[in-house]
Amino acid sequence: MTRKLPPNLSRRKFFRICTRIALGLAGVLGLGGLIRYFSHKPAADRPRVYDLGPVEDFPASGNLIRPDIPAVIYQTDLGFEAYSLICTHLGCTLEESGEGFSCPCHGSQFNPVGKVIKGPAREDLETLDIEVTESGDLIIYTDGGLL
Amino acid sequence: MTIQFRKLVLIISAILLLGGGLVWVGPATVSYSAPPSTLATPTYDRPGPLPTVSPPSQADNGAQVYWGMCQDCHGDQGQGLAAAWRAAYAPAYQNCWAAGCHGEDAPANSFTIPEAGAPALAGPGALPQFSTAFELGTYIQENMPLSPSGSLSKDQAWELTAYLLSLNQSGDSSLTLNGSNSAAVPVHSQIKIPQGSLGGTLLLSLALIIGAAAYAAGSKYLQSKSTKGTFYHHLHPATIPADQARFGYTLGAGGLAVFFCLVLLITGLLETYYYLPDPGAAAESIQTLSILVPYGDLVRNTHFWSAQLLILVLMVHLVRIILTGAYAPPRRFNYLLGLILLVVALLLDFTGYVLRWDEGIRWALVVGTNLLKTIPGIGDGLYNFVIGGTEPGPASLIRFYSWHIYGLTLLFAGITAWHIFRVRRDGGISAPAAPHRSSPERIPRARLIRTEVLAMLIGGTALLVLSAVIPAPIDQPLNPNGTLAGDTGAPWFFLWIQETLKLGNPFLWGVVVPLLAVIILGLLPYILPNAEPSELGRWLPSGNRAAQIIGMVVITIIFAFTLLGWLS
Repeated sequence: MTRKLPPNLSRRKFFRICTRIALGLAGVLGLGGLIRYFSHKPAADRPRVYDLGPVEDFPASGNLIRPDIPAVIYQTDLGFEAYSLICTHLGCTLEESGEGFSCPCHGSQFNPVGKVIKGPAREDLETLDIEVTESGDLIIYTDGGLL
Repeated sequence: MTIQFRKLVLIISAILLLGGGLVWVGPATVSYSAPPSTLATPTYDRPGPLPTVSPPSQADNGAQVYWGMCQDCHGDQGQGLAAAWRAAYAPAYQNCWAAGCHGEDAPANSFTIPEAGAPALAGPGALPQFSTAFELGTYIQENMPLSPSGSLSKDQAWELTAYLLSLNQSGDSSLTLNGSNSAAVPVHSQIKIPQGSLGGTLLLSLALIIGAAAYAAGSKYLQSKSTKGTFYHHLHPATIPADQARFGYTLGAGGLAVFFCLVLLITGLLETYYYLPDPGAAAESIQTLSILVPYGDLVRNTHFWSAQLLILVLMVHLVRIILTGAYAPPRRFNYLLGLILLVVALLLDFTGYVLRWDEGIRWALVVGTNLLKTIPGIGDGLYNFVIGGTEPGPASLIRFYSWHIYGLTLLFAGITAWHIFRVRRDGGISAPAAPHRSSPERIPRARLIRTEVLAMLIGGTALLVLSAVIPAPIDQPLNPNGTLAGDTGAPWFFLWIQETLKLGNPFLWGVVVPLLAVIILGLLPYILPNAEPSELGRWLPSGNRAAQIIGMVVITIIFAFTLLGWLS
């Protein structure tokens, strides 16, 4: 008991550190809670799989444009193919123009099989997986694209 | 298998099922009715009857209803009208899109399934548009089966809801869903339990209270020269007389009120990110906030409890000011500002309460706004101004919303700033003039701030724990055409008016009397003798005895009527 703590100063420092740790922790917890609070997604994700109905219903020639997906589906000798109609530039939905498609937002143009023919978009349209089920349904898969 | 054979199997299974159902129903005193008659007349192939459970839970009953009416389209496992499920049918029954279900034996009330098919009801991503069991059950009852929709009984709809929740590993099998408890039950499997915030909240409370303890211990060693003065320091006077800051005198009520206002501002701001001021969506958005949003319940409960406690603290503050005679000149005007703040706070509480737009607020809204109509001359105009029409509707909700978050809030913030400014301008918290002080001691602002920080930390912790333990009320969404009795009680801070209204003339008892109470309180400093300067700074000075008595009579009457309303 001969040694005593230096009066006040070290205690003050000790308690100040304790205060900062505890309140810092509270701040981190509160911030974490706030981040989680805003992390809630109020709307459900868009579906990733679309059932286009029986193959027989598919038009024998020409394209099928489905603005809800959005995608264009057509038939080749090799089977069905589909492209996403989401512009590879910044995600607007393309419109039909002449033979191909054009973007109403920044003017990108794509040919009927989805190749870019005029910028600002630099990539071709995304190919979508499409398959015919055993029961004869046409199923198309999207991965959400830019949206 | 021929169709005939299938029919035979089905009829036999139906009879067995019905028999089994009757056995499980047991004595006639059991309230469960026989399984729905649709079970007895299945029209085509389906898996064998469900095993019966005794005693059946609500979900088990729902499974039977589902077996009889829903599985044809939605699949025996809730998988929807998927290819594999359709393949389970004989070819004649497989194309329900074109032919009315159900093939050759289509009953008279058969119908065609929409092209989109019947959605899956179980599994990830199922039932995306429903967040609570209330929404799901209401939808089922109104829209299912497709034809004739609305043919389910209420009980059947809740049984089906319970069954669908169990298919999604959600819900609580011991809870019997109904119209009023289902609003608090989430539908989705990824949120099997509501986004509980108890753990996080308690952890945060713990950190705060440890911080408070360390701060209290550390600030004993405060050095007066140590603080250079932050912005927060400069909101305070450099020193104040010790007589002004005794807790036994101020009760800390004014400071606490400011604290609650800050909490209300922050939590209210957070709530606006999820609240939808639309009659069809308001109550559900609050359910979403309370159930699905992480810490959403904490935010809402904290907002609720701060608002309730604010009213209590303001009342304590008012009583303190009257019983210490603190409103004596030059503080008369600030006393009026404070009284206005109390009235605006009550209006803020009422408008916030109405924003729930659920069955709980129906009658309070109707009565509260109809009271305005009783005012002679300006009544109808005032009613239209508040409600935005001839009856409560979409326009009313957006008006209440705007008043709550902008109009009244800005008014309240402005008058609060004025009130605090006047406290400083009038010489701080009322205390005896210098020659009469008990001690010449003055408190440096570092100590003031220490007290404030401690009070905020402890008060904040208490508020968090209270909010984590007792949730704010929520009821099922308001049905504008409903005849449900609902909660007929006024919010507690207006219970006294609800009680006086029972005495007769609504204009007199609902408008004049409450106004009179406020006017009497407001006139106290102007028509009755005030405390002498030498008497200030302590309780019950003799100078304003008459005002103390009258003020307390008014407040006691309000309190007594509130108590009466509470008990009845």
